[in-house]
Amino acid sequence: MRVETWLLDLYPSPEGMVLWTIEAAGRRRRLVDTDFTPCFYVGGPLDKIAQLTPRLAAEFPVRLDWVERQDLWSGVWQTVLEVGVRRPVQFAAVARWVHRQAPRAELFNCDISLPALYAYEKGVFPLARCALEVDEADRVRALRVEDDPWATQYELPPLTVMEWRLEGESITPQHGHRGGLEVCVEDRVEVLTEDDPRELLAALARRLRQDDPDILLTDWGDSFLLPRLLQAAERLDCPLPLNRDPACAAHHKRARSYFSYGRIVFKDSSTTLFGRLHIDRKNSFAVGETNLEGLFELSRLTKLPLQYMARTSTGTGITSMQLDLACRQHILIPWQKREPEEFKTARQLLLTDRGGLVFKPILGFHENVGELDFASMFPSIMARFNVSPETVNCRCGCPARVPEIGYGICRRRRGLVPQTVAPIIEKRARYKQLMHEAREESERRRYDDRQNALKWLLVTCFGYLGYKNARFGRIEAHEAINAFGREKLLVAKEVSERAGFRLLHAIVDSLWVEKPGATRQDYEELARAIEAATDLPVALEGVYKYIVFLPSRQNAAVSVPNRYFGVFAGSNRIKVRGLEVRRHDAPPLVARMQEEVLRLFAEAHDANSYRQKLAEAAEVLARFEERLRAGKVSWEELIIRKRLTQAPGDYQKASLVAVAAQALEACGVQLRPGEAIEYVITQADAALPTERARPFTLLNGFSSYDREKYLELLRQAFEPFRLYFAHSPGLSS
Amino acid sequence: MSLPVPAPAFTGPARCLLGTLSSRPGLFVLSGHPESSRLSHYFLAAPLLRGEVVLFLDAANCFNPYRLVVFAEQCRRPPAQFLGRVRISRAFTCFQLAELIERTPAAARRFRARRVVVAGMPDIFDDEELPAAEAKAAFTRSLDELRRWPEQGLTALIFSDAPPRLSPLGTWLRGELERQATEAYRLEESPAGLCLREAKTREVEHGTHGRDFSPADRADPGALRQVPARPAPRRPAGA
Ligand SMILES: [Zn+2]
Repeated sequence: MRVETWLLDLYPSPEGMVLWTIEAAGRRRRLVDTDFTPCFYVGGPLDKIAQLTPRLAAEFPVRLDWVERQDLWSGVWQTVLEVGVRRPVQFAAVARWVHRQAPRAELFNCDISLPALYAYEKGVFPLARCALEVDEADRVRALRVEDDPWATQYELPPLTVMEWRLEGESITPQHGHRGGLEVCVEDRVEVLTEDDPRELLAALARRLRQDDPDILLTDWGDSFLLPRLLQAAERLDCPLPLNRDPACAAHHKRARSYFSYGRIVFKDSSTTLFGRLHIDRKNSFAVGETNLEGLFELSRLTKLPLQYMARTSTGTGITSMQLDLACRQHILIPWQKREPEEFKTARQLLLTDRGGLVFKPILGFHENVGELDFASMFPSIMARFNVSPETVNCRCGCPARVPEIGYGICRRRRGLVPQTVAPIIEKRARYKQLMHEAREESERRRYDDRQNALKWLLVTCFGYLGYKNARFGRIEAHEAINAFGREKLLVAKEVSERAGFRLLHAIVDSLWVEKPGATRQDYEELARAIEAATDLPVALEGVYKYIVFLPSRQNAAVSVPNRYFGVFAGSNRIKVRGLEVRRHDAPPLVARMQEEVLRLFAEAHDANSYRQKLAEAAEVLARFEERLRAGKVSWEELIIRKRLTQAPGDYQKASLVAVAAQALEACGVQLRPGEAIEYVITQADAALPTERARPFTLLNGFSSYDREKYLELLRQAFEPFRLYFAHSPGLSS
Repeated sequence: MSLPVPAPAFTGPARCLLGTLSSRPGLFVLSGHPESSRLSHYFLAAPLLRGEVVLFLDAANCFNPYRLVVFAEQCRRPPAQFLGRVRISRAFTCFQLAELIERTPAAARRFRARRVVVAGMPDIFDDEELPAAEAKAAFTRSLDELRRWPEQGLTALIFSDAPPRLSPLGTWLRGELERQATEAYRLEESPAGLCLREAKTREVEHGTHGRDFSPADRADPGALRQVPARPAPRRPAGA
């Protein structure tokens, strides 16, 4: 029987790959594809490997073959043993066995997840339209993909989304504070307030059966809701049909903290489902930044299952795309990332190990300023100049091409990274175009989410952060990109100055320039001139009516990069960097004050009108101060959110965050380094440390907030606005 | 500054130790300090002053060339001289470090180096994202390689950072490394300076088994100024 479907999810099972599909008519099906023999490769001395083959064949059902594959680093084709594992669930076990038997043999392609390998091999991807040939036992006889991951206009399956969240607060319920459970499908919201857990479970089970959602979208479902509900279901013996696949139980992965590049990282636990997708908005970078639409785009492009993509980094996403490409081009993927940096002298290191170039801002208030940005500078460099781990200082010895540091770049081979990145840059540009052409807001938002998702893919394909886990990362490639970047920014500065512009500030891939009387047209022309000189795309981000470059918080005479606010001409759009309104740890009260003030300043168009607005702005501040003094501020507005840098008990000093964390821990809340907590300052200078701050969830009627401290925070946050107009009328210091 | 060697805490008996560390082929493990890798820089000065080339295997992302510049200035040598004598390679995964360790003897011959600093070993093998068995296997292979270094005339100073809490794997890795070491020391930092405490001695040469080497042993009181002063929670006995 032939069926037209979309692929919702895929995972391995003892029977084969399980595919969950959705048909246009609404039917959801669990199908099994038994025609999947994932392969890995064994390289090294052929005679040694040959000795291994009879034992391997005796131990496992495998298909063995000698094949030619390309070495990633040299590009040379070599003979390797292809091991096809007939029972996919044994894939890792077979690879481990080979490794144990022949520890010196080189293994390739053996640590790629099965869903990804399946997707690469079949060219299929989550949410792809497929035509399937299916037999009576729901086995897939043939699969044809009738979709293109690079398409910008694609039809998605009719997905039913059910949302679960706790009423009220948006902070983790692990730290206390809970309300009723809101269940929402489309516009229907139901609040379950059953006190009896049995009744609550029964109500949820009823809703799950009734609506049978494809996606369960939750807030805190991973770490709190689902694990608690499943525990209760088991304890009380009340079945909760979270999974569609009756053969599987929900999969729980515990939380952990680990060190990565000198920073402690907290990774929350996760609960994933089979046949239905669980996505926790609070535990998903992709959904948090780009909504479901962005997640769908990422899953389609990277071929990673939706639940996995939702919880992983976009760096893993781009790596998957590179692996896919490598598989298609028969390039061997080394099992463990082993290629270290070439030895260099400390002197060479000083030269090569430098980041982007920064010209600190000329502080103060500037009018009619243009901001020019290199569009996706680093990815564009990779694509344009063929920078990839295997092309930098290639083994064929191609000549030096990287400015300053003199590394060579291969002229014979196009690298995997540029091949991956170039079409993403192109696709993002098409989305941006579609976004501008969109007639309806919903359409515009959809394209915006998608282009944003692609932006994150591009951002993470570079940088130290992704370096350790980046299968195709190499430090020399990283250095080469930085060197190109520095040169291009320098060229941009020179081109601007030759054209009579003054450089006010430049940071890595953006520059702010001014010229008295310059028009938008002049700035556009400058962008074209820089583009021509650098061979990289440059866009005019906009012309500011005015922009204020702010000094360091600690010292008003010290210039620091990326701390400013400004208003664009035409749109009156405000752009802010480095102020509380952009910071996650600032109390909402302070951020709101700045927002209100900035809205006022958006109407100003030069220094004079700004000065006039300043008096009004001071009134806004006064109003916030008055509310604070009068005790009319809600607790939520005072929350300060900070990340723990160590375990609560390890803090030596009784800082506010330490006090709050220890108070939570004393109540039985388990906290890990890297996790964020929310607290309110109660009396910053109290002699008894425990009185200095309270965790938000432990506030009670007896607590009161530290008015003086919050007043101080408000005033500090207002300081940047009056800094260069200290003597304006109507302003008291 | 009057001192030629900017590793001032290692004077007096501790200097003998330093001399031993740097003149005899072997594997010397220095650990116990949360930032042992950072302190490894102080051990570069002596061989650099003697004009030797040092290989620096950085698995802790800690190497800072500016420290060498400061050392050079303190010793009134041109910084370029020091900078040119340290050859560094950074590893971000334990497999990269393992590969680097394998390649080191050849690199040492090529650059005529006899001294190797390894920073962040075995710490980098204690990786949460890696199955413990894989980490152990890679580590064991590296240890086999390391054991062959002294035969090839290499002196290795291996620096391991002490994390606030050690995982079971971390404990095992450190134990194995110290078992294979020629000598193992605890690095301690007090407001007065750096000191070494012997963790164990395989070949008792000093006749001072288990003895502490502390700033109290130092010859020149002015010497301590160059060591980063930072309070340590406890001072070693005898300090
Ligand atoms: Zn080449």
